[in-house]
Amino acid sequence: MLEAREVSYRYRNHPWLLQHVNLQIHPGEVVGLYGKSGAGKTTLATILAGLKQPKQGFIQIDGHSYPMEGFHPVQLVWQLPEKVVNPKWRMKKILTEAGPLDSDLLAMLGINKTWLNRYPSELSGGELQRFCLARALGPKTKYLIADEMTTMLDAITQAQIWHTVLELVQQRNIGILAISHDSSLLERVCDRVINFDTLHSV
Amino acid sequence: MEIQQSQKKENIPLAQNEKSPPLFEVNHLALTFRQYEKGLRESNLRVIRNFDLSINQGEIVAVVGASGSGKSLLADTILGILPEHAETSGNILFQGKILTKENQIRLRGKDIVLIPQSTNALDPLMKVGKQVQSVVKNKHKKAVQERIFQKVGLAKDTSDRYPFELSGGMIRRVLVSTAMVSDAKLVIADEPTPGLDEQARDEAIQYMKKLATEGKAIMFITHDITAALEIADKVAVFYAGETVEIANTEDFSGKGENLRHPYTKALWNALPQNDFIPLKGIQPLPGESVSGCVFAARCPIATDVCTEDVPQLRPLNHGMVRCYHA
Repeated sequence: MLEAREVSYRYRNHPWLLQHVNLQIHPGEVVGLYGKSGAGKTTLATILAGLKQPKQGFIQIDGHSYPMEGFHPVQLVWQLPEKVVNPKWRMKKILTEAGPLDSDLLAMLGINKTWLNRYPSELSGGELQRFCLARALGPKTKYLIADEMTTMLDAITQAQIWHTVLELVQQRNIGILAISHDSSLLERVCDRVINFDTLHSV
Repeated sequence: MEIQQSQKKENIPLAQNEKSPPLFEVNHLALTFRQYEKGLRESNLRVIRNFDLSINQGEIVAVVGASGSGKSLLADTILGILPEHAETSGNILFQGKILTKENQIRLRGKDIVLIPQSTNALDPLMKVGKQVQSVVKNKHKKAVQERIFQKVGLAKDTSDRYPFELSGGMIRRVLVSTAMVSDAKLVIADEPTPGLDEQARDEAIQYMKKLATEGKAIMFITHDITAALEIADKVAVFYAGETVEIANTEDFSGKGENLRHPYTKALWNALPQNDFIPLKGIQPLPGESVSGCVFAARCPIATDVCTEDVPQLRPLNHGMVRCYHA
């Protein structure tokens, strides 16, 4: 179980953004999170993925506290894929940085083998996001934080990507936190949906 | 004499019956980039193949397409701000006249304005109030700007701030105000909604609507079909550089029985509030040569003829479609 306990966070010289946040995600569970822009959803996502340390409180996975060693079991997929890939690397290098290629996974995500030799600028947003997912879904990934993962994509690509992710959730018993403004999407893919405002008491 | 008279009689009602031409019209627009491959060997990358659209005064036409379909380049093409190695063909008409290079330079920022996609589009070294005032053409620049800021819900002291001091939502409002204070007849809004929460998104959409009720024609470029349907009068569906369908907003209902093109149907049925059905395959990449219909490879009803010849856009049920089987 991925658990945030009494997590609080503030940026320097700013008021508290997160205060006493408590959240639990079980393996194989898809949890939806929605809230206003600027409320701190992405900040919480980066804390859960171990990219930021909370100022108070802690994060645990199956009783083990952060920081983790080696491959992080919680992986984050961002809203804008073109901003989180090295523009000067070919896709193959970008993928193998996270571990050896898994051709079954690539096929599942609909990644064409010929794309591996391309640079990020030669692919569209939907194609790049598939790569970002492939990179995040290594064999050791236990939890996935999808922060507005399909907001920039058209409806067909969005449905394709979510169908694959939900299939993987079942296959590998991965837990997902889906952050989105789109309430119909969350209702469609999630087991339960949380309003960000009710998570903490600022 | 008699013949002349009868001709006259015929001509007059004909001229009256003919509707006034649309404010803005695009016919068979194509866009190619010249590229150097190795050394001096050139190749052409075709990103827009067949784009057709018309917008009347006070009308909102949404251009809906996937990322990578070339829709943001449409705005650049219309404004004439493409890089030098771009080549266009086809024609763009504004107020019935062909939009030449000289006309584009003369009209852009005045009669035709862009609400850009990027929130980085404002000048970072200039107070936002000043930036909006620079668009106003009469003497009362400051008063006009203040009134508009009030209208879009920006506090009075916002005008003295620099772009970096504003949130994403506030910057959107500033960008919309620049369009509102201008005397523009055509406003091109490039993806004004993604990444906004529901409230901010609804606001952005309502501003668009406001611009239209002021008599401006709006070209609303988006990948968000739900946002498009909330305000648009017509929806032009754009796939791999082509207009595949021009539909009326009310055609988007039920399982999409009233939609004409199989891609539009698939797009509609892929929405999470509908059936969430993912259509297999991907859109052809820019530069990939497709001999027939651009959608044939993914189309459930494609036949041999689809892969041979490019279908032409034709009228059907008060809309337009580029498909042999519709």
